[in-house]
Amino acid sequence: MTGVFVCGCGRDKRTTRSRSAGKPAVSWMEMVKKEAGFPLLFGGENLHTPKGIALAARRAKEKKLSKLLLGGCPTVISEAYAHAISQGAGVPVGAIEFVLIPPGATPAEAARLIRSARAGLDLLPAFEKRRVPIGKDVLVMGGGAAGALAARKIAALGLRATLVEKTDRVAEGNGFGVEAALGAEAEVLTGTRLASLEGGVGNFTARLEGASGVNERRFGAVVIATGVRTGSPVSEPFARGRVVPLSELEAHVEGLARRDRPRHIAIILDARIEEGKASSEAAIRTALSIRSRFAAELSILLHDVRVSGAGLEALYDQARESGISFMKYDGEPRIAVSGGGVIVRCRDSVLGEDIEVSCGLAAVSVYGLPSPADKTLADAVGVGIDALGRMQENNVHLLPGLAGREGVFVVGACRGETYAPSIARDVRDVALSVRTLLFRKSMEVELSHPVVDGDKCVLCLTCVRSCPFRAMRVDAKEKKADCIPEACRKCGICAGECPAKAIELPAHSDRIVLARAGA
Amino acid sequence: MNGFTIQCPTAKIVYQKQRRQDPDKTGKRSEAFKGTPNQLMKNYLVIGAGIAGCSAALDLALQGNAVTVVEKTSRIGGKVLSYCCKATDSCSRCGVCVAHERISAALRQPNVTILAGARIETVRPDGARTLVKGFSSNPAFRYRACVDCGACIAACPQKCISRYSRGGLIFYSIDYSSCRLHAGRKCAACVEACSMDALRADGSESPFSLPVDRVLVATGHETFDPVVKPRLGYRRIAGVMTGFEAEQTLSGSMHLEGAGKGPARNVAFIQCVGSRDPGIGRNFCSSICCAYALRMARILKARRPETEVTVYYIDIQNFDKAFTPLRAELQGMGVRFVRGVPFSVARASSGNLRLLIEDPQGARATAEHDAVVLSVGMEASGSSARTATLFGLDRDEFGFLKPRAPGVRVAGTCAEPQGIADSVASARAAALEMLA
Repeated sequence: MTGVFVCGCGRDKRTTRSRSAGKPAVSWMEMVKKEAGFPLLFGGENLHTPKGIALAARRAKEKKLSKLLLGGCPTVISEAYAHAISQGAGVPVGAIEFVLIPPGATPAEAARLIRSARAGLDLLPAFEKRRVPIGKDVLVMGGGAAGALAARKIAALGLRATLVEKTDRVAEGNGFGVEAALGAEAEVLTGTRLASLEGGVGNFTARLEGASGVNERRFGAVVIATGVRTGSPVSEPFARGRVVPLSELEAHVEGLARRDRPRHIAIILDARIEEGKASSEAAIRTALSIRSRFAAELSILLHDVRVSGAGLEALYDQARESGISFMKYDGEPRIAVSGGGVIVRCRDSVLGEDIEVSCGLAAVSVYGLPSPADKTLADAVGVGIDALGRMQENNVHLLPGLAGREGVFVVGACRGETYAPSIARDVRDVALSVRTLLFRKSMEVELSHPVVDGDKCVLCLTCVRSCPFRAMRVDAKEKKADCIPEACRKCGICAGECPAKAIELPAHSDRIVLARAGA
Repeated sequence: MNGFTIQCPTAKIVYQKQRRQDPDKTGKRSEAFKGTPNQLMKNYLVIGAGIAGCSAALDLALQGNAVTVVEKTSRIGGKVLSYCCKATDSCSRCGVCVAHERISAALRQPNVTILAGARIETVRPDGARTLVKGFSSNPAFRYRACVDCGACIAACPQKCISRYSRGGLIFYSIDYSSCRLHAGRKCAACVEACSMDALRADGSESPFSLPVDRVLVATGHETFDPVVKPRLGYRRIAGVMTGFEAEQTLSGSMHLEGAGKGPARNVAFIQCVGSRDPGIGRNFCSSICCAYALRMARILKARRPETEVTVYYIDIQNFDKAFTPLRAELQGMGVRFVRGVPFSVARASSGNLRLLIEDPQGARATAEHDAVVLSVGMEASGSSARTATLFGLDRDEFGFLKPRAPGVRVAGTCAEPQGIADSVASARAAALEMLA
């Protein structure tokens, strides 16, 4: 049952002033009560005070109200107020609605506003709640440094982590100074890939394809840490023995006979896309090491030296003092292999002239080349892609590790972060999110998600494609689209996009919207 | 006396409630949480109610812990509240809105107690815990009880209560320097005016004594003051402002004020003012200045495309998830990037500002602009030495804090210069480590 509480603080004062006469015979509130055509449970002043709240809460309890409509000035219409009255009255915050009565509203206007709001609220169905159990298992995709650390951190929280790696090798002890074997803390499945990920937060069903066939497993959350392709490339701009990946440069020089070692080596960053501080740091450290071990001349060609991390500026100074030359260029460099060497042509950004650097050996960082994420995997897990084709949309509300699909997280190079301290930090951030999510044994979901009319639905999949949270799926048995209530955030995009007008949000059904509009 | 402290009934009620709700605690423990006993009982102290502190407090409280946040100043929220949203027709991911959401959530979180105008006197070990003693200022707001009615603002005879409201974050704060009650005089106008019992006042200060399990230091930074570099003309020449001041201007107005009349037509951003400068002992990159300067350049260009914007830089740092398209977009909008930073700003006879730039060959070039934004970086806060001594922390050569003592963590810009999204991530990472 709906109870209507209207606060009339200062209304009479205002009307008096405007009429420049004495106190009207009938007060504003009395007139509202008459106009409304139904009884008000509260029609006085000072509803916002503790006394007013206590009174309203008591009346709501006495009359066993399930819905409250509160009308008044902006003080009454505040979130803090809703929480206060909800606690006292035992009515969920979702069933409390407000109607703003603008200052200077005549009793007739106020009554009209209250009537239409009440009509809408009356039509609002009572939503059932469902408890959804939450799984304590976490799937970590990718056995690189980020994935291994994520599995470790999640296991340390008392959750069960399963690490899935596509190749047959997990990069244990890679980076972050962790050396112990991972197998003791987490389940490790190598040579396995994810075929599909169904369900929603707390209850994902993953189909894992391994050597022993397909295996269906349930997980509460999923962490994606699939990295980028860093294997030894042979295609442009790399050339065997002349242009090598930066990560392999030092080993390559070491492997050469003394007389074959080049006297001049160029390291090229920002070749196709702008790189981060991790690349600058790696280039400088590699250059310093090669210079001291093999006494070669080193040039680092880059757009900008990226030094926005602790100690990186000092490292840059050290490199310049030791004689490593930095050449800052604009645009794309042209790398050509000719005879016994490599010629790099680019436009020097300081001089503003085209320059030519010839060297015996060049290195290009793979992070400076476009390395788009596996689109199939991104689609399957529902993380979206940014403008550079990497995992995770470029949305500040998701940073650093969230994805549009709740319960799915992204860390590491697959989302474009290559700086080890930042990855280590992001992994902890994600582990905290996982813990917050799986801390509860179950979660309560209000079943106010969109309803699909099976007679109208033609399975065009527009809703499945347009849902930013991956909450829509196909119900194969009923042959219609269907919503996963725990993943749905009630944004209404599916209802708006459906060409057959088959989807409706029960809290915003046509009847309720029309009633609210006073029609 | 200190009924509002960590042993306060709120914390106990919350704990008891959770015990009742969780069948694991009454019967046998679930497999998953065997390794983490007694998590609901931890008491946490967070120093600093900026974005890092509020963020960590929120996350610790969401895990069922009682968290007290002490804030030195009278206004909670820290510096992030002075920054402007840097969106044009599309978001530029500055994170100011995220900060407002998180601070607002921390204010509303029942397990979080925030003490404004607080100072810490002693920190000493107390068994397995740490006992932190100090004072917090009165009158103090109970932020969750406030319904934003404005009665206290109207009642204050000194007009020292102000309201902050932006993006769903609404709170009041008291300027203690002019408050009569805080000065020890007889006045309780605000307390009497409040019908929600949201203001508390006994005496000018209330002592607190908190036995805490873990401490997070998130005391933030100070903005570099470019008067140290007098040739840049800051505070001497009209039209020269810091990036921080430009943010404040742009959060309330559409344009920057130049040296002449009306909106600035030709704006220069000078990067690395007080960063990457060994001459003044600041040989580090502040990492945020490229981000805010380029984002502000973007909004200046978007709001008034005929505005000329030039960015003088040493190296542009990569600050966005998809930085390559962002930089291309800026260049496409006509933002000019010039390598090399001017070393002097003077007033030209035309009334404009003349910038002197030395090019790599040693030749001097000049450029004229009518507004100059000095992209100032961050510096360690002046009280970081005292904070370090109190909590047993190390400081790096530039004064930023590093954790040394067990049970104490450092997050946000007091640890390393960083932007909003990074501060939040570092606070959450520290919160996770503190839960263990």
